[in-house]
Amino acid sequence: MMSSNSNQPNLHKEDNNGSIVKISNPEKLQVISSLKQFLLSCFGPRGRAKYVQNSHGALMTISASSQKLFSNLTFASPISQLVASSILQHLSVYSDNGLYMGIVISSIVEGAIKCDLHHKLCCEINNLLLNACLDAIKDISFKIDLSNLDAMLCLVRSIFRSKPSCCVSTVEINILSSLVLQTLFSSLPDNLPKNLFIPRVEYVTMVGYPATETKLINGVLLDVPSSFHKIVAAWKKELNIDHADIKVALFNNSLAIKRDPLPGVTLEVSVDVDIEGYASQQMEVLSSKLRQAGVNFVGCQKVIHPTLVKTLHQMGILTVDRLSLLHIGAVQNLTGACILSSMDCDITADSLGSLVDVTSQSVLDQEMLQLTSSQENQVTTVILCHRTEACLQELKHVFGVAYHVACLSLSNPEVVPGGGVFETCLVTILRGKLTELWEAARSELPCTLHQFNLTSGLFLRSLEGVAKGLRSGQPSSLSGSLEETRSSNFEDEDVDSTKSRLFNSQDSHRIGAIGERHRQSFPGKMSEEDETGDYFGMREDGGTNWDQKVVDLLITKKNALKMSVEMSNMILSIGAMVTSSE
Amino acid sequence: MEQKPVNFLEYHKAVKAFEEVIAPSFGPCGSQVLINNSSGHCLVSKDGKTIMEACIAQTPLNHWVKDRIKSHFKSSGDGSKSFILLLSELLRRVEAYYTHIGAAYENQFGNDSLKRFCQALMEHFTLLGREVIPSLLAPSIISNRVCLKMSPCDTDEFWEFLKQLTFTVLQDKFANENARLLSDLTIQFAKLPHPELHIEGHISDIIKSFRHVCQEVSGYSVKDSMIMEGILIQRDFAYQDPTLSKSDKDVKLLLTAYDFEIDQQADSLCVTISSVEGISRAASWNETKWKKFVYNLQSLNVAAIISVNIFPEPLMAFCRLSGISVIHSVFLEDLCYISDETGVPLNYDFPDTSAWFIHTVPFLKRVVLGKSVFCSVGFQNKRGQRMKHLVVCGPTSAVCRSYSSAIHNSLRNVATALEGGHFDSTPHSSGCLDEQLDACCKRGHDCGTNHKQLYAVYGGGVAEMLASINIRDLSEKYENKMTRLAFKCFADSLEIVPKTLHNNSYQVDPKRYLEGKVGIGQESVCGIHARTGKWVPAKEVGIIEPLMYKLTLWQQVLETFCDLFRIDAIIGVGMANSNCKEKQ
Repeated sequence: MMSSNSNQPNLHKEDNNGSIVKISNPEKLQVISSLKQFLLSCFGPRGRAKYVQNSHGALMTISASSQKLFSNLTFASPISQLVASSILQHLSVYSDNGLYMGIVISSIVEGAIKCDLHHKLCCEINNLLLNACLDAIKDISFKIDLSNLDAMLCLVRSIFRSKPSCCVSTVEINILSSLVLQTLFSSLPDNLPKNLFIPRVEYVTMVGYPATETKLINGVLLDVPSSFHKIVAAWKKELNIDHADIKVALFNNSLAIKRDPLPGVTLEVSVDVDIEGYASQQMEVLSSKLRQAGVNFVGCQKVIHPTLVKTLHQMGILTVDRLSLLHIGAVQNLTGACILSSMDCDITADSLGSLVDVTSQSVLDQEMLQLTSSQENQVTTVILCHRTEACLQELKHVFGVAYHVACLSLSNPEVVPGGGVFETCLVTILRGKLTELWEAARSELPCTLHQFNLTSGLFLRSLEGVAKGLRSGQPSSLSGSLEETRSSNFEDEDVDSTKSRLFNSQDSHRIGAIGERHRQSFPGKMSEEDETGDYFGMREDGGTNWDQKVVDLLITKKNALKMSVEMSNMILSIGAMVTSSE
Repeated sequence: MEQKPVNFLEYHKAVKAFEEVIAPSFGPCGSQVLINNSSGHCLVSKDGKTIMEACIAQTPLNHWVKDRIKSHFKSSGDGSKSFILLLSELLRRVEAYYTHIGAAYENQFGNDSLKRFCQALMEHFTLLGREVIPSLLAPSIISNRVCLKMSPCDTDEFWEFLKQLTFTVLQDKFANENARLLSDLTIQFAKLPHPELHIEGHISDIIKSFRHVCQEVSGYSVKDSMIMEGILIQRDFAYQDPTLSKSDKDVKLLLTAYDFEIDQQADSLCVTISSVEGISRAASWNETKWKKFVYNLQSLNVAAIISVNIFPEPLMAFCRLSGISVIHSVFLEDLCYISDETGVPLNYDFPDTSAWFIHTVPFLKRVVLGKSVFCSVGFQNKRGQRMKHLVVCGPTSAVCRSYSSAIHNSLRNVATALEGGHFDSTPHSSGCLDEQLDACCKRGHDCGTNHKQLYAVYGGGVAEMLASINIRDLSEKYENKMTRLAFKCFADSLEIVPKTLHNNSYQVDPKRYLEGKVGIGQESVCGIHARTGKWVPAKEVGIIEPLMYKLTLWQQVLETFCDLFRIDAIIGVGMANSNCKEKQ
């Protein structure tokens, strides 16, 4: 399947007609079955990570995440490429449910090929069943109260639990889940705007520490040379930082080399003109401008000339250069400064930002520079820790996914039960409706009842296969799987203590505000007389124990399901392949 | 120079090579073709033109046939697959007739006799294509009950008729449900913004500007496709101002194609500097100019600049300081389109403020679709209507492309129908089968405007079967044996369309197909139901196609047949030399 160890038929081979190759169903089946096996082995709480290496044997990634795997793998078969591409596109919007989507696609295709009906007929029945699924989802899904911290924690925890490759224990999951929510709440502004964009979070990774050491820091952390901390201490002493409003100027151009002043114009300089003198003159002009504007801190994306650094330090201005693209955006967000791009530009009060404090911070035995600002310009940095590099990278990815899903839940607070319960319920509801569906569609569907039952049976089995896939490698009865996923293997741990330790009163205030807005946006959704039935005892009543539940965000699941059926239909309808020369 | 005579087999092989790929993908139940290009990108398509373009032409005749199909597609916008099927079947039929009556040719021309037979048929096919089809066949089809007539006027029935035309193309490519959804969206998008606008011109404007008004967004289902107010520009803001969504205010915009990086006037200039101040002056020359430019923008209350060229970083910083948003690196073609539509000229130079052309738009906002960030600008066209954008969603970019390409083709189908109203001389019949359509026709005549008629025939091979019957009848009027034979040959080959539809359907049953065909006549024309593969009355086929498109297709096929047999030999210039080199 993958470029290195391919065990799939090579569909690139050309026949006598040139570059036109017919793709037969057995070939498709072989490709899809291999892909399914691969995806199933990574799926769910018992999924296993894959060690991806390049052609020279160098490690590219160790991961069980579809996003990391598919972006690092190249597939020999164009059909696998299509599936991978659709999964990556889904993940680019929703971050989660990539493996789920891949398994559903491959299961539907596999089933449809096995039933040996006309591809178009299968597609029509699949579309019919998809619409029925989308209708049934209304009965399965429910809205969570965003001000209910337990429900939100449950949503985030479910993501960590389904990604075992980041190698974190249950206790660590609880801490990380709380941190995800804390990150979200601390990144949100106090007064929620009408259109809220997902706030950016900065990450600092530390290898060799347990994941429990992961923490949040307000502001931006910069990795600076150890000698720099003495300079900072001296600067702070001189500044008398107690109630200081540190004025910040930010540059994204190099403050060492003057760019070509007039592109396209040749400048001929006389022999007696001192160019170096001009350069130092420019630096003097800039430093005097900065002093006049009352700047205390200069940040530069690129390099600052040592002479300029020295001059500015003498003036009591702290300089941090080589911020790079990685940090300049965060520092700008934090300080609210307008980025300047020229040595000659006017430095006005409007263009300056502000910092509350610049401190040398010891982060897990590593000295870093912490920039903090007022509450209006809040930037959160997550210090992620793990014992190994590979696990840390995976954890960083999973943390990002969990954060994205938590953000998405603000606008779409509907969830469905996870751990295979959603698929099982969907199948149960649809099984009951099959006769009704057939009666409604029989006039339009040119097939017999037997054909309809066969195809829909295989479709439903594909969905069931996802639930079964959560217990990969262990055949079991579906009811067992369902029961087990509901109460699952989650030990009773002290979630409350972690929660109270991590969330402060300010976060509680924000959570309350979100909940209030949530109630205004979705009036009546939490009311007792809500029209949907309580399938799983997971509704918002007093007795819900969120600690033992697994939930998935509906919007991601729904999109994955819709795209899966669409892609399956597309793959089923492929009959030939042309290798284009263009 | 090497001359190589072409025999009949080579002609047939040139067409057959394409037929083998095209035939399985013909009709709504046909399969898709996965096109895999050399860079590894995949495209899934059923579009005849796309498949043909991806196919490698191996012989010069292959090339020639491919070019003919391309030119046909260019003129009609659809029908590449029907073209190939018909041409191939015509060759097959000619060969079959030859086996019956070609003995005389065999005696006279020996091995080359089949080719000579085809060449002898050429003038009769020319007669059929140039004279019989437009002057005799077209009126007889129009007078039949299977031909629908519609007056182009801005009524709901008319737009429903056009929706049916777009659906015909889309259902051929995608599942019925998605095709219905996209055809609804297409017609909603194409609906006249102004009742007095010329429909034909309006549709052709949309086709021309389709790539400017259609945006493909992957990562979603096709069900999420939508129409958005304003024009989407897929360029991120250089300066992201969250307060930019001023939907309740008028926003002033400057559209520019001026290149600030390169000063056109100063190009290839040599300046001699003799003092340090000189360097300073030279260095700040551009920046002084840029500052002045931004200051002028501020004085005019311009909120944003949309630029073709990238802005130099110092200029960008000046804009940021002044609170002016910059959207740069926008395609010149996109801006030219906006300029043409809005009637506000594009700024190419900045002599002074008074000469600037400023757009005032009701909104300018950031729109995030998937991972892409767009700038949505509420431009208004010359008539004061807000411009719209069609957002086509799909799971992958390859699927999105095939959706948008199918929508474009469906609009071309509509345009062909609208252009095809030149059979005004024929008497109007009240023969619209559909009551709704009939009512509209009457209303069209009553509204007093001089509407030309729009003709469409039912799909599923109905038009081909009717044409086949008519051509056979017409052939009886000619005494020349060869003329009769040519007409019958073409009449037979037209049946390939329903036959292929049957072969690709769910239930293939040759016996049932032949039995059903027997009862078909002038008054009881049937077509193939693409899914069941059964012969059904014309009205039950469910799709309509522009008559003009069918007639053009048949004429083009006949013309191509004649042109093909005009090629007698292939001459390879320089082939001998290259062979020598290879031997050396």
